[in-house]
Amino acid sequence: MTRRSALWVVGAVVLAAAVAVYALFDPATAPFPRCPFLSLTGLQCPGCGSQRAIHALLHADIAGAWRSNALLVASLPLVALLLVAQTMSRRWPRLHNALNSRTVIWTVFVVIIIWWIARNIWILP
Amino acid sequence: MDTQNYWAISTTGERLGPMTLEQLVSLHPQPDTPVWRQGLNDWTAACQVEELRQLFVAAAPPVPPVSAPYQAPAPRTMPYNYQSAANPQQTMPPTYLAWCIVAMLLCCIVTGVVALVYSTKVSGRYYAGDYEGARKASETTAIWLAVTVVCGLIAVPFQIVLSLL
Repeated sequence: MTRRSALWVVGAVVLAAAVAVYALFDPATAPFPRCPFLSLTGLQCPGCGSQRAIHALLHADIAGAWRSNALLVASLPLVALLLVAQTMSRRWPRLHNALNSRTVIWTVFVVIIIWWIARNIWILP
Repeated sequence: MDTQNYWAISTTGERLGPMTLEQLVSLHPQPDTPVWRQGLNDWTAACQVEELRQLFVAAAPPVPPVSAPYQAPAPRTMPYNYQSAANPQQTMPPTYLAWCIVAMLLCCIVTGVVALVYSTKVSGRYYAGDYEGARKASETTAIWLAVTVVCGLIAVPFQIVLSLL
């Protein structure tokens, strides 16, 4: 087995384990990692609620996931599109280059910062 | 000017050249075929290149043949955005944008933002023709992504302790 395929196997096993853990257990309860930024400042970081959102998504509860971390849910279609564009970059270079342009990346940056501020001002999910 | 080298991009996207002006003419370039030689800032539509312009004026018959693909007079402006064809041999290096988003939301926002900032440099350098710089920015992004994931993993035990407090 080559090193590359070994990595794929390890990655798949880790992913499957993570999916099982996050599907079976409620990440709002104790042994699940808690955000240090939230603990220290009382403010939510852009990633706060991601574990609960993943738990909800694995239970097909999109509304619950949205309440836990709306940005994570909103970014999923973009992430999926980007991964498709990356794998098909040779066939569709224009799509790939358009999606990975500076404008798009800076937009992502600004959206994440706005999300960070907004969710703490309006106590958004 | 005869000894000058010319490059062109074929309809299939292949880069042709270096070749002489005669060789280029013998390939029957279309008015919008991207052409480059010393002295041009970027790939330029053949009809915009001075020494090739005549070719299309002369070739354009007064009454165009039925359904000729380029029967219209040579366009004054470039018909396409040639940026994406800037160099067909060099594809744009990955920006890892998808992984940057995932890493920022799941691992560590601080180092994730650093990775994101480096990823913005990839396309800019690529379009500026700095392929080496674009590749380096892409690599730096990947390194910062790895740092982000490692930070996230290192933090997990501490975060578990936090949850137990």
